[in-house]
Amino acid sequence: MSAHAATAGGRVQSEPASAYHESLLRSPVFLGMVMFIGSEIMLFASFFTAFFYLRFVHDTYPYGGEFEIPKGPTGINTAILVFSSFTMHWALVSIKRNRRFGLVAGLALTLVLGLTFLGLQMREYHALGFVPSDGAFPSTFFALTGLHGMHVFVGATLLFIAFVRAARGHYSAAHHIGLEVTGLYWHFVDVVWILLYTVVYLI
Amino acid sequence: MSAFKVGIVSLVVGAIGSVLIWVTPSWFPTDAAVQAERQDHLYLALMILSSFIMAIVTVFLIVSVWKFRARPGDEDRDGDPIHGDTKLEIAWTLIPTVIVVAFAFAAGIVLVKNEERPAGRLIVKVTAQQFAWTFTYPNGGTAHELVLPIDKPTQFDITSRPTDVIHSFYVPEFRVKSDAVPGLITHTYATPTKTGTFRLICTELCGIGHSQMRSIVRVVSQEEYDIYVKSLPKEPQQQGGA
Amino acid sequence: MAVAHATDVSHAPGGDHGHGHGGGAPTGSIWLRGSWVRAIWVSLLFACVAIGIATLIRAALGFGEVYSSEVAATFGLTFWAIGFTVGIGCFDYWWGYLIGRHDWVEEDHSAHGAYSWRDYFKVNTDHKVIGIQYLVLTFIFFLIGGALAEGVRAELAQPGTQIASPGLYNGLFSAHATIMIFLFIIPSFAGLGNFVVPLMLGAQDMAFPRLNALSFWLLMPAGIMFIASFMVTPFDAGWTNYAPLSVQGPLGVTFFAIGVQFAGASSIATAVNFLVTIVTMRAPGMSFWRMPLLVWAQLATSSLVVLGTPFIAGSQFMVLYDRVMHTGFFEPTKGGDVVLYQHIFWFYSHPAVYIMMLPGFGIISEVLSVHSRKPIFGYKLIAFSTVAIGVLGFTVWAHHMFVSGMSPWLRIPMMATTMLIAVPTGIKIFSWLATIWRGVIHLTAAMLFALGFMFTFVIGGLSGIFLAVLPVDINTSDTYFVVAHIHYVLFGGSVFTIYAGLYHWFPKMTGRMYDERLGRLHFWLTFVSFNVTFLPMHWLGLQGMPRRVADYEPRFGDLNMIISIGGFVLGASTLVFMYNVISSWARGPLAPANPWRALSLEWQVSSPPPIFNFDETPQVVGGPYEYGVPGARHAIVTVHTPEPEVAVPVTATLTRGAPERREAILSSMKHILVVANQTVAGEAVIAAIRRRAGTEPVHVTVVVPQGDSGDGWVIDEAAARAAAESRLAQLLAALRDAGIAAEGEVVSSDPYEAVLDQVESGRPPSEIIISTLPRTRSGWLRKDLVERVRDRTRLPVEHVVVNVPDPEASGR
Repeated sequence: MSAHAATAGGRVQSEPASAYHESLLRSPVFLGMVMFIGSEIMLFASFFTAFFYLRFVHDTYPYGGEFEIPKGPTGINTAILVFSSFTMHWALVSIKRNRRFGLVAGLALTLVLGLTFLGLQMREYHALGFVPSDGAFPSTFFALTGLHGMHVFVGATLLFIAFVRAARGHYSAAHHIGLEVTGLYWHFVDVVWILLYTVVYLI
Repeated sequence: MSAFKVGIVSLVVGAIGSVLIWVTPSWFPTDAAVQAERQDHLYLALMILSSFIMAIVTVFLIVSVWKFRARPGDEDRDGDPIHGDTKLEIAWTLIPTVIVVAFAFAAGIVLVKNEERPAGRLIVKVTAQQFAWTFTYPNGGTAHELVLPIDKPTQFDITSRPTDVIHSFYVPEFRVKSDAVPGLITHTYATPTKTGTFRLICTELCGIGHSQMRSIVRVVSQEEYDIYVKSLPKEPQQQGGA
Repeated sequence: MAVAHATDVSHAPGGDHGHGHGGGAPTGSIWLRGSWVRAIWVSLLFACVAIGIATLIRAALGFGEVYSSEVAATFGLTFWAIGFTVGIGCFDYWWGYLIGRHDWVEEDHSAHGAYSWRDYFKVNTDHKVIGIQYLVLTFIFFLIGGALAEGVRAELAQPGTQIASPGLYNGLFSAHATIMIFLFIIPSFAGLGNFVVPLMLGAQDMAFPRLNALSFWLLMPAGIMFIASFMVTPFDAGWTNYAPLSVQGPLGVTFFAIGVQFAGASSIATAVNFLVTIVTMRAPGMSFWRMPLLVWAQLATSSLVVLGTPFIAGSQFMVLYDRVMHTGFFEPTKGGDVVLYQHIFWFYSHPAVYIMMLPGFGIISEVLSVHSRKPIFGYKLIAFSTVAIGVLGFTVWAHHMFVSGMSPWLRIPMMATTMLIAVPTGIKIFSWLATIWRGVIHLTAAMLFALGFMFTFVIGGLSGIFLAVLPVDINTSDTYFVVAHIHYVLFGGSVFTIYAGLYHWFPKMTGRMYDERLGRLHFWLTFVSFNVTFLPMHWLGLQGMPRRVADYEPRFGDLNMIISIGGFVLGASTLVFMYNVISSWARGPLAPANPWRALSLEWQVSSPPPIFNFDETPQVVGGPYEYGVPGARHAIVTVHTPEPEVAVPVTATLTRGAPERREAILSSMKHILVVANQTVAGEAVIAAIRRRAGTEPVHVTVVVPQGDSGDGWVIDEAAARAAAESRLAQLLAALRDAGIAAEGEVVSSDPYEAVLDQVESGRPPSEIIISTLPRTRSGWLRKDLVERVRDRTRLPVEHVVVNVPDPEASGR
């Protein structure tokens, strides 16, 4: 996703590299990712709606008994994911200053942390002691965390592609829209998780 | 021919339409409940509004096509470059707003009145299932037909069996309807005003028997109702919900 | 067929790329390159592998039932659809980039533009090709959905069971609605918008052309899934698929749930494309207030799609989970809530009806303005109201749930917002009426449908107001009153606007003019039969006939019969349209660039447009609806290879209209008589005609006299006549190509008599061209034809000599 792609259809509106930073929102690829993330937010919203409705509006919560969910271990996992957003930011800042080491290391760390998050989540799934068909709460719990997990997987794939391209030197300070887009997606995944953790685990 | 004059013509046409609507027999089945009478009045008011709106649209359409149609020689001519008229646009924003708000108020009032729950009202439990209706009267008696005493405000507590699907309890002659939902008890209200036999129709797709899921509603005198209900067998009823 | 001619391929944007344009023979085996053949085997492979893996995992995890048809259907269908898009070639470019293929070329435009009819069956990145692909595919689904409707009406024509058992009947109307909504109306507007919007914006394509292609190809497996459900057990819970009926439903429900996901993905991808294109790719000078209203409509619609569609995806996911994994979203015995499904479903499905209507509103604005030659009345207010409907559309969903048993307090606020949404809609209707008032109204087919729309949509909108009023809704919910309402707004609304748009942009898309008489016939057939079919349904609903029933009270039998007959005529009217489209597309008269003399940008390029739309970026200098303003221009468009200077009378395109109209038009043009036989198809003849046509509008009558060759040779009359007909046809075709109105006939009289017949007729010519063989071979010249005609008629006569080679012994 180099700058070529950004201007593929946008020949009419291509801007010089020096105006790059201000025009991020006018870059078609970035704008497209923003809107796609908008639709993904709404997908999560539909499941959050189910969760809220069954929890607060419907009157038989918690049907089937209390379901224990591991706030502590998942809290650590949350910290891991949040930290990975910082490493992602480090990678982006590095490329803007043309520092290759920071770029590659940042991406690698982010990817490792993301995969760690996934791995730990899968372990927690095993240790939970209930399955989706046990009731309304388990259903929404698995649906929400599962949907998030799939998005982490997609994000990890994007990170991997970005990592390979970074290692091959595709990015430069002036042309790294693919990285911006990957970073945006990863931050989205992180923010959704923070919301999810707060709503499902803490409240 | 000014637009204003055409507007007046269309209002006259609308008025004529309203009169015709007023005098034609009702499109509804007989109104057999207090709720029905109220709904019918509201509907009539809406029909009169529609008459005026349809008149405006139709008259302007017809007059435009008649007067401003392109004739031979008009191939290169353009119309007057009118871009808008602020006063007119304000008018056709504000007037419809006022009208819809007024109708919303009227509708709200009718709704509240229709769903009044006076003390001493009769409460009948309605249980739906694929593809039959079961009624439980206050004394615990159950039946598959609905019998009601005339002039008695009645509340229907409606549900569907827990593992069943959604149905809907509809009596056209009362103009009342409420879905029968598994896991939920819904309510609707009717005060019958005429004796007779009316229809109970399921109006929520519930499977292959949906078109056949009908029953009858018999409105009788209070004495007949009392005799009927006393004669019913009492079966333990399982209502829906948790 | 609309094969676009690249005006100058080397002027493609950004200079010359890679191995240039398509049209060359495809390389590689058909089994391995992006093609239908590969789509079939890759999709089946993906499906089998997915089902295999799912079954293995179930076995490994110790499930009792290792193979489950639900699980198999879920994973099989999903990966089959993905495999289809992979196999047909949507991902080839990205995959090549990812794996670093040695022959991967960036931006080579090899899959861009239609150079042959075959390109329409492949992955193509040209928005114009994709637009036409959408329109043809969605029209096919329209026919399928319509056939299902005829099945419904056949069953309902009489009480009792006619052709469908209740189970099949439930499947018929469920599939009818699903296909019409997800595979016809929504993608039709996407297709029309795809073709028109980039042109209107002055852009060369959409922002993401490859994503655009993927959006189209995602629709195909979705449609196949809906139809394939009839091969298992059709889904039968309505297009609304309410739980618990859907959760308990047959295998077809899974087909529905997964098909909806792919149709939704297609829709969202297109919407993102539209939004980014409109925001970033408008031509210089095109502020938001100078955009055509169709673009405003697509802006609002696309926002609704991006924000709303995920909710129907979520709702169908939950149904799938309840079916396959036995979760408890909607299961009361597990703490689930049945009404929850409806909230989530309708939160999308109400905006969906605006998704199905707003682009139509945009089309109506375009058509009314252009065909009545007047600016749009209240442009800004129409733009505002479009956005307002979009925003308000998210606040009214529960009006579909007034009797559902939801929290009672929600009903009155929902009624309030629903009533309010009538206001912006009313603003549009009044603005449109004011637009045509004092216009110059041309009753083209597009205009007829736009005017018909005004009538039928207002009826639909009014019944909507009835339904907004809570007590009335409580009475009429789930009865035929609702069926009447939805068809008045969806057919009398959306479909009428689709027809209007198709007629309006047909010349631009295909480069040909459709037949106006057939268009008129189509309109009246449709309009009358539509009202016969759906108007009585209002009464039926009020009388208590519920919807979604295979059977009804016997007293409704007669009215249902009338409705069914109306429905069959309505179906037949579609055939008129199809015939018009197919025959006009194949051999209709060539269309000029701007037959409607419209101002918006798509009309400033050829019909069909060049492959990359504009040779140079247009400069927008004014609004798009400035009709009647002398000297007003919307944009300055620079064309590198201008069309030859042939005056094309604006009204040449209307010459297939009413006779008296035609006479009036013709009498305003210069009438030239051409007399020729052997030489009638000669170049010099055509050149002579074109010389005259270059300076003013002309109308040509060609007469090919067969009689009295003057040389006494015996000739085979039938063969000679046939040859003369064919030469005449050649000349007429050449004149048509040059945009010159012409007609001709072979007559049996001699040339002098033939000229006199014309000169003494009701429409005499003002000039004559006589074309002959050279003096040494011409029987006509031996008889001094040219001088005699000059003397007798006192008209200017040009004598053209053509030396036609003499193949047969019948030369004269």
